[in-house]
Amino acid sequence: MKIHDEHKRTGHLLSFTGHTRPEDNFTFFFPVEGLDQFDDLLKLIDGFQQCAEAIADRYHFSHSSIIDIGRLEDLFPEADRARILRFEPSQFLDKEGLFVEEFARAVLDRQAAGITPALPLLFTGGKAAGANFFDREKELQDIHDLIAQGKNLLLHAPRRFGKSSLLTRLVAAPPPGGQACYIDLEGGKSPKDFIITILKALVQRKEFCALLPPHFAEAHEMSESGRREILKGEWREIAGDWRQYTEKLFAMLARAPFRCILILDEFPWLIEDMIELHSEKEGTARDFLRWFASARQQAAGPAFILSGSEHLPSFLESHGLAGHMEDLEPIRLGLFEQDAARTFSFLALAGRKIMATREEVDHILTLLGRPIPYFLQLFLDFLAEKCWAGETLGPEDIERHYYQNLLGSARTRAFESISLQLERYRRFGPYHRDGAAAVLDLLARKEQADKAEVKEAWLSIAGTTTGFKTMLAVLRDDFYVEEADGMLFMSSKLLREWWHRHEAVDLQL
Amino acid sequence: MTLIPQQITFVRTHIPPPHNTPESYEKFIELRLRPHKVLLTMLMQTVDSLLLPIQRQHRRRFFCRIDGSNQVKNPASIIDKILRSRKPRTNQGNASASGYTIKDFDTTMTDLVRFRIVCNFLSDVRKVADIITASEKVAKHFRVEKKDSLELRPSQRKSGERSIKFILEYKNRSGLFLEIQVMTLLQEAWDKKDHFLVYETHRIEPGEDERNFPDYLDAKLFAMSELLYVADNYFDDLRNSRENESDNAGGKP
Repeated sequence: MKIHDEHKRTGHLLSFTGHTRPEDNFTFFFPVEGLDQFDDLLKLIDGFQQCAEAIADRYHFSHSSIIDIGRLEDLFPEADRARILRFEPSQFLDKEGLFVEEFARAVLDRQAAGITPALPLLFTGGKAAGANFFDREKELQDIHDLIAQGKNLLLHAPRRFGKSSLLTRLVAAPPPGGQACYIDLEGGKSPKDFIITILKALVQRKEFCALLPPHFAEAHEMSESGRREILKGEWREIAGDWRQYTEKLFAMLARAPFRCILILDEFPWLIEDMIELHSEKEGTARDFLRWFASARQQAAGPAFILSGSEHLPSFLESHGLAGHMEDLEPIRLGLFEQDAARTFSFLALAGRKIMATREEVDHILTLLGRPIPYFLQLFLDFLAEKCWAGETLGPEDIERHYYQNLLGSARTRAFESISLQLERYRRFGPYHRDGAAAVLDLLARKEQADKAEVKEAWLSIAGTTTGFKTMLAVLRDDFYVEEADGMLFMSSKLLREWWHRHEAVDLQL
Repeated sequence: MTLIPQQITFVRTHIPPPHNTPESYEKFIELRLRPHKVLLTMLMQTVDSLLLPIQRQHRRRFFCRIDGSNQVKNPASIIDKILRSRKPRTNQGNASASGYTIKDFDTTMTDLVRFRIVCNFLSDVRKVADIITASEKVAKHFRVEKKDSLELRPSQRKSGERSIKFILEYKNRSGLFLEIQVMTLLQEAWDKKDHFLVYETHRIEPGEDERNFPDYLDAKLFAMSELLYVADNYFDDLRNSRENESDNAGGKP
């Protein structure tokens, strides 16, 4: 792995030109170093030529030599300079010298679709939106299908999993005939907060303002303070009877010419804070959940997607609040598939002008195991920085950086949310945090363990099996603890190794 | 590029389906030229790196440039060349006795892909040619044939073209030929005009040479080539005298 040598000017151009609009074109430039690359470059051209068949109805494929990529306009005056990508031939050939079709198809598909930027950027810790949102097409389609069937959804994913990115994507690409509004419920502590937060999000969108009473009509164009004034007026009505207000609002949304989809992110946090507050005056969590379950049953109402990084059903069950979520269709955001992760890594590194071969990308993924999007990006980002600092990274260097840097103490902050998550288990009961830690400790040390043995580890801390089942469900979502053939294991290699190196030691101390 | 009726008939009868139509024969030919085009890139890069030291040495003036703007013989010209090679020959040519065929054109034609090195002065052409000739890297990968028409007597030349041409055959693949043309700026200027006035006219109306190319036209084109050759020599002399003056004055060339 190393940074592209931008000084290399001579090479081969692969150009794709629109049949109907020649100005719709894109180009790949492959710099060459010498005659020894003849066979490699020929394989590359053959491979791309075959891949080009898939878009032959729209683009004409051609290739030619270029003495100086800086003088591209001499050779190809109509070339769209914003759609030129530079690669090294070795990026598309494996160590056996075979063409890596999946990488070629990935760049071709993105270019042919006019995705900008053609190579996704790394958004470690941030929301990946637009062209930078990668994969998850199946999950998106599942959501579309379920919404079309009139279902309300419960989307669960642990932190750092790409949940918010998926939800943002859903707003940009709603199901046919629908419009989605993203509502972040973090910070809300009562049913009134719930409704005012929804209202705050709705009034920022023109299409939703049009569904509300006339005084909201221009709210989306107002300043923050203007909107605040309007909401102040609503607050009085909400405070009077939040149920009636909300039901009226949902009825208005139901009359929309499109299907309204309300994405209620961090819903579990709202419930958690309501439980902590436990105010009869403000409305208890139980009352709210019961009312909200009933409101969702209204056939013509908006569709709801409840989301959060907590394992909501287990959490509610542990607080004696089970039975209010049964109508929701669960969707779990899984680990990145290995193929998608490989393609993403290749594209994202190429976007940072890093030349990585398939073997190097595979090595990264072998180290990480099935990756968690956040940690994959974190590691890729780190390796890219090293390359930009002038390092050429071989397999041993990548491995060293994985163990010393990603899993090293310097990156503790990146894993902070995982440590914090463990602390939050205290809310389930007095021994739940330590019991969960004992289970993870065992699974980190042994890689996999018999369920009876895991239960034993729990018992050694908790002294009772009560809560074990709930915590396993929670750990499944938060720490990727999976079960197969009666054996439990942590399916994220990275988390297992992190735990083994850091948390497990702490527990032993 | 439009085909004339004779070429269309050839395409229909000699190119295998589904490419045996005027609309798709180009793809058939282009596919056959893949290795040539790839090798051309490699050779361009190699020659570029060979010329780098001398370019740096003469960085104060334009020395030469590699021109890759007309790399590949166009498919219609290839068909035309095959057809011409099938006719009884009245003069010397470089085709085999039986002529080119659609089956073997990609391993017998030596000018399917090429690039040009355009030099400032006539003596620069020689320097560039010497570098290519002396290159171990080139010799390691190619069988090289050099054709020097810079100072050929008019009677020994078919046209007014003056250049040094290298025909290179890739040792790893017999029959994979490339061409490098080295010439001066003025020779290139002549060649471009000749290509437009003569070559293209002949290609479009191959049976009309008598009408299209009266003697006076040939004579004038030839004369222009000679005139530019005189100019090239004159410029070379001027440069030499300037450099000598500069050397005597302790300056740099």
